[in-house]
Amino acid sequence: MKGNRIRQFSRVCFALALFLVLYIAISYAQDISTYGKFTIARLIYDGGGDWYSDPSSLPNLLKFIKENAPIDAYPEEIRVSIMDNDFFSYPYLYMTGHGNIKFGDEEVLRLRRYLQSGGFLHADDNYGMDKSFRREIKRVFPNNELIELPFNHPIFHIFYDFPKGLPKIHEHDGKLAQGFGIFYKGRLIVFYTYECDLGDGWEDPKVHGDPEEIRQAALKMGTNIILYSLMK
Amino acid sequence: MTNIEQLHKYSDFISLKFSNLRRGFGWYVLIKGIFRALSLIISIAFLIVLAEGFLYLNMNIRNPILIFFSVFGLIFLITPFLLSIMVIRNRITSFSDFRLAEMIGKKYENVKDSLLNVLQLRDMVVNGEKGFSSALVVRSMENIAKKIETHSFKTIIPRHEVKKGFHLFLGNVILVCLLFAVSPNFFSSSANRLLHPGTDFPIPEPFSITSESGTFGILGGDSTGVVFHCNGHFPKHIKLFMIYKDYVQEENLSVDSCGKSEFSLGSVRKDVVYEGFVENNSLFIPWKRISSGLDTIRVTNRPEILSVKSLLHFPEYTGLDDQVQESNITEFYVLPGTEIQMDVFSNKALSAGNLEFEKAGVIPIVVEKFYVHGKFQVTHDDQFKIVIEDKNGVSNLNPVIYRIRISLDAYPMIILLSPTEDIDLNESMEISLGIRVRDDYGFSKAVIKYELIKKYGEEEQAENEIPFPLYDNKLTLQELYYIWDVSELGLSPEDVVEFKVEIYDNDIVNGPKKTSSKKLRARFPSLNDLFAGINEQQDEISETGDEILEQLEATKEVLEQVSLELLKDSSIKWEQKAQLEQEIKKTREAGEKLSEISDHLEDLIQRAKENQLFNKETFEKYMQLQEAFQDIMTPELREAMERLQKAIENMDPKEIQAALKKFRSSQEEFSKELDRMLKLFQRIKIEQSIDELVKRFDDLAKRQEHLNNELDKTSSDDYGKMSELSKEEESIHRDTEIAQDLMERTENEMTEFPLMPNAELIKIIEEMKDMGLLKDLKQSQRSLKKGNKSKAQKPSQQSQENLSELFDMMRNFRDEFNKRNMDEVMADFQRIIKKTLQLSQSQEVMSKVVKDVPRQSEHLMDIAVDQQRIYQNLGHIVKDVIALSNKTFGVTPRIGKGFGKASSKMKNAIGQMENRNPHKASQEGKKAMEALNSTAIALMSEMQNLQKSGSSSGFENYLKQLQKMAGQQEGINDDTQMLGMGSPGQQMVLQRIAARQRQVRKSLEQLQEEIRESTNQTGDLGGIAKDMDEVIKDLRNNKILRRTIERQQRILTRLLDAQKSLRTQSFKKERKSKTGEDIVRTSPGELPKDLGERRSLLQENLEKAMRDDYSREYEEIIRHYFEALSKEEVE
Repeated sequence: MKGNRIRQFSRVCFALALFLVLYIAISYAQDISTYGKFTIARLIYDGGGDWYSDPSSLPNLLKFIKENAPIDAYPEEIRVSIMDNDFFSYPYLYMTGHGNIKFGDEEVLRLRRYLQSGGFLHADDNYGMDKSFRREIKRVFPNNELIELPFNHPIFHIFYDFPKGLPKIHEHDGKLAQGFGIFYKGRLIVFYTYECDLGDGWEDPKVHGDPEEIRQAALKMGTNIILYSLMK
Repeated sequence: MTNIEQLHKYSDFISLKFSNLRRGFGWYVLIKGIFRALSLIISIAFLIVLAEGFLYLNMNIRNPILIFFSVFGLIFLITPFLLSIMVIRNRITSFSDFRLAEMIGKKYENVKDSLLNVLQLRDMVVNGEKGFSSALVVRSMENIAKKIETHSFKTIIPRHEVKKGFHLFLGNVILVCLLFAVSPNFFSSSANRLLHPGTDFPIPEPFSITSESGTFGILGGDSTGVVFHCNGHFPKHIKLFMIYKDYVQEENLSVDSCGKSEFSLGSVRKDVVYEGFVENNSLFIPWKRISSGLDTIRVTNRPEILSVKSLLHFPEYTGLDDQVQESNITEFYVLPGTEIQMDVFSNKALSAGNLEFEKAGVIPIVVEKFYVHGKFQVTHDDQFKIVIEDKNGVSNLNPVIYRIRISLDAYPMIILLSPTEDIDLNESMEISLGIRVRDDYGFSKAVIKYELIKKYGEEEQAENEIPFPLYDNKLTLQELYYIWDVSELGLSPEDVVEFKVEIYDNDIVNGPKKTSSKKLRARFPSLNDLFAGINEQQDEISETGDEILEQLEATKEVLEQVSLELLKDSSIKWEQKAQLEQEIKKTREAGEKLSEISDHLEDLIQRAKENQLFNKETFEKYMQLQEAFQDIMTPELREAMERLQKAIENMDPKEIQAALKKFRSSQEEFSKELDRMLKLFQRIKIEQSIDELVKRFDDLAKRQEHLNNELDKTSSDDYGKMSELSKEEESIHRDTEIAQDLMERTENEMTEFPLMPNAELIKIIEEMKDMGLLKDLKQSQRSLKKGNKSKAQKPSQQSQENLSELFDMMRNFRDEFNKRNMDEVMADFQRIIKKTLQLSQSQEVMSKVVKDVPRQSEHLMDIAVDQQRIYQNLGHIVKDVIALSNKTFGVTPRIGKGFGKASSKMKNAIGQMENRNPHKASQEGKKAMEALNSTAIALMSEMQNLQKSGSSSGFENYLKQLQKMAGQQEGINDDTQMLGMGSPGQQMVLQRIAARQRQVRKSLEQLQEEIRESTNQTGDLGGIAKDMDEVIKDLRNNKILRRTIERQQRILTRLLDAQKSLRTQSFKKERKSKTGEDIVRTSPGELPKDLGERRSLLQENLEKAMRDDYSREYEEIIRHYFEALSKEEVE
């Protein structure tokens, strides 16, 4: 009798212990699920602009990359500010918005260091951030020019071919889609897409109701940008 | 006689014959040998004498030669004798019986071999050999004996050989005699020497060499020379041979006519053994070497410096580590103030030492046996040498010259990053300064130097300065930012602050050096300037808007005309096509211009915001207007244009007509909307003008008050100050005139809007004129100019009162105006809502009634007429709504759509009634009623929003809430930071702060929900909420970490920014996106070679060049070069 009770008690303890171990293991597995995978860090900035716009864009882009490109991408975006401790952990930075951008003085220096140390920034004008972006990026790199990339630049051909340069996704001011770059020691560190609105193109189909070919063009161009940044 | 006896007889006979012959040969050998020996002896003797004559052999050689010669001479002489005896005694085989028999046989024909044979037979018999007859042998011997009996055989002796020998001997004798006769002295002296081998005969030398310098001593390193003197028949050259310790040296010296020859030795450091000599290699000259003999130059060593170690100790402020310089480096490039310590090691024990400077004099150094050390401080260029002395007082020779070159601490460098040009100050009264500074060793301070340039006063002579904080004085390259608050400087409008930033390095030796940035000016714009800019922009907007309207009108007419033409003739002509395309293009251009207007408005709003020129309501209205201008160009219009464009391309008449109809309709709407926007703009402009007037009069009143205060303080004698006040009064007068003009202009503009209270404004203008304000101001100005204080005070005081009154009046007018506007709008809303509800009620009744009416009933038509009336009434309401939409933004598209739907359903109901379909008519009527009801609810909602905010806009409420939260957050942040310094009862306080933070978090959540409901956006509030959660967590756990403080700061910043985002993009009505069209174009040009990095590379290269150890002059040249390159790039 007594023996039975002891055996039962032991079984219960064993089950609890097993459960605990499994729980810890699963939690740990979730924590390390991002380990070794590519992620896009969306930049949170001050100034009033909507850094959070096009919420479905980056997850869709990451999914597209995972399915079509030789990159193991984590399906969710990371959100990061320049002053965050782990800011330098993300090699690929994305920023967009419709409004004002303002970097603090320390943020200017930190962002500069980030980009000069190997980071990459894709700035995508969602329509309205052009003026403030140009102003702020000039503070980050006062001695470097934003120069328009020609159609034969590798960023337009590295995985998918875009012989005519940036695809025009959405209409802003009736201007041509342009891709501008800032180079540092020969390396493209900032890519600014203007009058193009790739972010809109990456959104869920029902958001803007664009033709599928337009969406695909945007996703493919997004893939090109990411691959280029990782490979160059 | 027996045979044997006969044999012996004959044998003896033959033997005797042979003996005789042998005797003859013996004499032959003897004589010949003697002659030959004598020849040999004479030849050898001659050769020896000859050799002695030339060689002057040593007595040690002569002796053995003589002995040798004598011995061999004897041997040569004795040998023939011995040979002769041996021949005679038949001891030589060559002269044996058989050999002789052979010789005889060869000589004598009749003998031949027979004698030889007989001898052989004889020997055989004698030896007892058998096999032959002895009688025969005897008979043979008998025969031969008979033959040789008569012969003497001496003819076979070669006597000619003897003659030959004699001749040879004679020849030698004659030759020797002849040679002897050629130089009898030579040979006789030579022979004499040979005959006296024990005597030493010195070789006669033709000349002698004497060393005049001889053996002597010098000091190490000294130069010296050796001298030789030649006597006799000396040659033209002699050789000098020098033997050093580890090498030898030979020199050729020439001998002058006096026989003197000398040679200089430079810098002799070791003992030298030397000799002057001449060598003879000729065989014919007996002397081989004539020498001066060996002499020695003895060197006494000087003390020498074997190694030098220099330790450079740089001035403290440079932060440079001490540097050791090796002895092979003789140049010091150092900063002034550097201390140099010299440690010297010598080869000898020393007694004294000095550092001998060219300019600085002599510094004694400390001696420690083989070591000396000393130190000195460098202040200027110089050179020195280290002089050491040994115990004998001998100093080192040619000490090395050490050069000191001063390397000056360079001037610091400063670049002003922001601002880059003159600026206008805004309401914040802050100048955001950014500088980039560089120095080789660091900085001591940075200051902002500024001068106030008063508009109406004398420029301040004294330059003021305030510190510019440096991050770390030791960092040699820094980029720094500082917000300079100039509000304390007491600036008046139109005053200017001229400023520059100066940076000082940390050179404490020669004093800190400074470099200044370029000078810039920050101007405090007057209200006039600010409003002038705003008004100019507004005028531009109005003008552009009117132009666009005109253009649209023209387009409308063209479209109408084309439309009519197409009705007559459906086939489209080329001209019509061109016209339509032209009008489409113009409409597109109009859209672009409207975008520009929107941009101008944005700039205007920004400027006004920075300088707080508008009140909140006006801001709100302008922002809504700006958004509205952006969206005027509706998607429907764009679609219509494209459809028409496509139809024109397809040249399909039906399509063209349909598209044209649609385009005209959209264009009409566009035009109406623009007109509405412009009217709203006019209204807002008027509101802004009134606002401006309030501000202006407020400003004028304050300025006048300030002037009066200054006047009271100023003495009448202070003409300078009076003049200044006079100018200011003049400015106030001018601005008052401008304000009056603005009032009149505004009144004029108000006449376009009948309901605006322009009469009240006229009244104010009249009152202003009655006050005589301008006159008083003028009088005051004149009196002040004349320096008449008492005369100026009264009108000045009066002016101030009047201006204050005017300010009050304008403020009241504005408040009344805004209230009236609001009341008007509210009344309109209420009226429209009431009518809508009434109409809805009527429609409801109608729908119920028609439902029960039979299909064929005549009553149906009556109901249709009633429905038509309701429809018409709806049209009236819509007109009222349109009129209301010209006054406020509160009329949203939702309302318009609601009425549109109601209208459409009513029409359908009428149609159904005409088709005798009461059931469907009832359904349509019901739908129309529902549309009216929802529209009424929308109207009520908008009205409530407007009422809540207290303005004609809707966002104010949200902004107020955010503002309140920002204030609360600020309080939380301050309390948390104070706690961080450690205060008692911390845990309790932290929990209270956490609770407050939770409260703010809750408020934020509620606001998020409200905003989401109204606009479907949440803005940045989600991110703020997340940060708040983290802070609450930290506070709950009683933690105040650095990240907690940072998060709180971030929350506050984002709350403040969220207010901005509410005003701007976050609350825009849902952005309509339009798929872009890919336009074929050519690629932009190739990337430039420098990839846009030219300036960056220039900057980097400049900094790199500055880090290299160039002299100051070179650094300046390099800096100028790079600056020129940069300028070239800019140009």
